[in-house]
Amino acid sequence: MTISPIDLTIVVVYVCVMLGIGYYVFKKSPNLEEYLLAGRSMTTPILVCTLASTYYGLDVLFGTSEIGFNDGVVAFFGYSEMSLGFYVFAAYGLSRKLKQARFKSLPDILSRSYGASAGYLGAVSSILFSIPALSLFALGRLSHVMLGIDAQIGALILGSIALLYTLWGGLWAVAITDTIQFVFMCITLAVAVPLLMSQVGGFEAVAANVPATHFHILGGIPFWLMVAYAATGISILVDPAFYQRIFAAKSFSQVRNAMLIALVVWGAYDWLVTAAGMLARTGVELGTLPAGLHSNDALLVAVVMALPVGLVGFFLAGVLATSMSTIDSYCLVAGGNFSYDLYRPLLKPDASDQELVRATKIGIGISWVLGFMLAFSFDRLMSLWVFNASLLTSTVLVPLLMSLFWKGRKTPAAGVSSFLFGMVSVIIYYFGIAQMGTYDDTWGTYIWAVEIGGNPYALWQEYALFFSLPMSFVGFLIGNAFGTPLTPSAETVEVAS
Amino acid sequence: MNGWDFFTYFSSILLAGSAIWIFVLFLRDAKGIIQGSREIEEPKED
Repeated sequence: MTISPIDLTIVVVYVCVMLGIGYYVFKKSPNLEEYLLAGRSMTTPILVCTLASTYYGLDVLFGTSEIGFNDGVVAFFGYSEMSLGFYVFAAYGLSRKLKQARFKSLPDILSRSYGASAGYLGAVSSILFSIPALSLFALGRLSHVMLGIDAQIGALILGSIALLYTLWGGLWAVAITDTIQFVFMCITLAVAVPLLMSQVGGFEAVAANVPATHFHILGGIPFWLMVAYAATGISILVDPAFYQRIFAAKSFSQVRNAMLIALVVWGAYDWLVTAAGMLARTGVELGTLPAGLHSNDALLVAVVMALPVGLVGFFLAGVLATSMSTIDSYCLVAGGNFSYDLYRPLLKPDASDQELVRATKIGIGISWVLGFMLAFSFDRLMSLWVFNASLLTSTVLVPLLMSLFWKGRKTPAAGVSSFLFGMVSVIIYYFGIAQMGTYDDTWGTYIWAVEIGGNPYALWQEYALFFSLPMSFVGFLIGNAFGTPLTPSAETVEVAS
Repeated sequence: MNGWDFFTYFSSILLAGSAIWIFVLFLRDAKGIIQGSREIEEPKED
């Protein structure tokens, strides 16, 4: 890909601005609450930006456009919009309770309801989920495609910049850089897609050049797989970065409004990315884009072709920052879990604020290094990330929701056994399907074909949550029959009320 | 222009308009961010 000097300059200036923001916040010497939770003073606009840019990473930008390229409008109707119900529940059902109880982290919720052991388990699960291996890998690949540099060196340089401003400025630096990135991405995408549409001749040209199935709203995807994809939206209910932003909000109404505005933004963004994939496919069929264009690169190549010099620089900077914003957010979460949820209770209960900030920075560094090492060691990185996401959801969701919404008895054994039942069942399911089933190249996953009562069924690895979540609930019920509830403190009473 | 074209234009205007509006609101709040604003205490649920 050829980039003009003007666009390259914009990318470099943009990266320097990110560092400048981090350094500015660093000079203010934030305490722990300011570093991890931005002093609990985030307002709706900045919450919208940081929520949208943290969740809308490269997986949405390139994953959704790839599905749009290969399968059409199902990318929007089937994959993206079916999970929005969980976001509405998060906005109305979760935000107020979480905001009232003044938690500092996701494991903090577990430890207040079920005791220290459940908190430690939750912290380890959250750290594993937050290691930024996939984002660093994607950043390396992007820098190779866009700037022509080696993927590992690109990930090292650009990933280090994200690491540096996160270390300096904590959540404020992360959120302000997210805001700038969000604005650039939205505006450049909103300009690029209509330009691309006019270049290929609109959707009449799309209809004439792509298979008719591209306009089937639910495509040809198996029903249960569609449900499984929609169920992946449930991960927002255990996503530690989402919780961190709720805790950082100035008030409940600010975070609720931010979630509702973000839903509208996400919807528009999803459609434009889907449309860009379909328009790129049409461009390939018409010969205006290279014939061998890989569906994964379709959005990048098509948008760069559509935009004028100058705006390309903003778009590329936005794409790079999309990846950097995911790296910074999750490194910060992992650092917070390391210091507040493990180091403080296990090693130094009387640690000062400055000691905890220092421990958080060490945790951020460790998670980044682990992410970098994993990023270039595994072939099937996406599968590893999906497994980690399934593990976090299977282990934490049930005890977390019971903690927030179940007013009855809750014992420490319930928290631990719910976690362990969920963990064991998701591991058995994943590795069981990998052993018993066969790898399907088309879908990129393991599928086990079984026959029950003469009827054929196909068990996909993606169905893990259908088994592990009920098992986690069973674990909660069994564990809750043993032991005695924690002595209710003012904080735990507040959570259950 | 068919329905999909219209939907695409509508989404573009919505996305760009939202981003500009949110950025203006962000700049309005920036002064408080720089000076260090404080959390609003939540009323207790019944």
